[in-house]
Amino acid sequence: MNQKVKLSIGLACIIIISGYMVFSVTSPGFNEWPGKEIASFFITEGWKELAATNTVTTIVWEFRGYDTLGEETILFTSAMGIFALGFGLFSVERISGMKQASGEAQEKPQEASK
Amino acid sequence: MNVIIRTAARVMFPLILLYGIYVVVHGHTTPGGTFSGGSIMAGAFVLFTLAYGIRKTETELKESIVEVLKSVAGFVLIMLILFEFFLRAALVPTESLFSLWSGSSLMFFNIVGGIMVFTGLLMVWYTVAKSDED
Repeated sequence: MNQKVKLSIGLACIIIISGYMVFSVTSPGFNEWPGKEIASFFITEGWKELAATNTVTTIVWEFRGYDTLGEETILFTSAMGIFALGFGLFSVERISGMKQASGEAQEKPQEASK
Repeated sequence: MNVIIRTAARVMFPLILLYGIYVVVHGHTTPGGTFSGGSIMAGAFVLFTLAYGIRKTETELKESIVEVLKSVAGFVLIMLILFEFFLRAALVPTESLFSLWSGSSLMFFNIVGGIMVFTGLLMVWYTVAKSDED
């Protein structure tokens, strides 16, 4: 592909996306979202719930505690996946079926991985 | 690594670890919390590994201990979130703001979540560092 064509496509993407963002922010009714009252509740009354001054921690561990449990589960699962990959509990080649193809096709992915 | 990096890592390692523990424990009063504090604590071990190698790092904290710590912390976190109502009924939130003993049950969540983030990142780092050695 030509260099100018690539550049023009990139510029067009930037203009379209930034224009859409500016349009969506300045459009009427942007600031009127459901649940606006609960945001002001978090700011004004949230610290009284646990007597903690860090409102972010209060929201993260108190008002959406189950979400944070899910976040920790994601972290746990990703660490377990990397652990299993690193110590050979399962191999990518066995899952994708590359090991059954004998000969030169077997050596090429190993060279690429190293 | 050369002697400059080794000396700097030896001096900075306990300080970075202490700062991470401070960020985790004071998560309910000052900016920070579980993820930032756990990342700082894991970064101390990353710095130590880069200076001294993975074998000397494992004399400080073995990988089997990290795995057990992560599993125990995950179990305790689930128990804390499930039985949070009883915990808050037992702990009375004091009115003294800006002190260490202000948030009623937030400190337990911060400590357990910080241990979980710390051990998770450390487990990933140990795996990567050991795969490079083979």
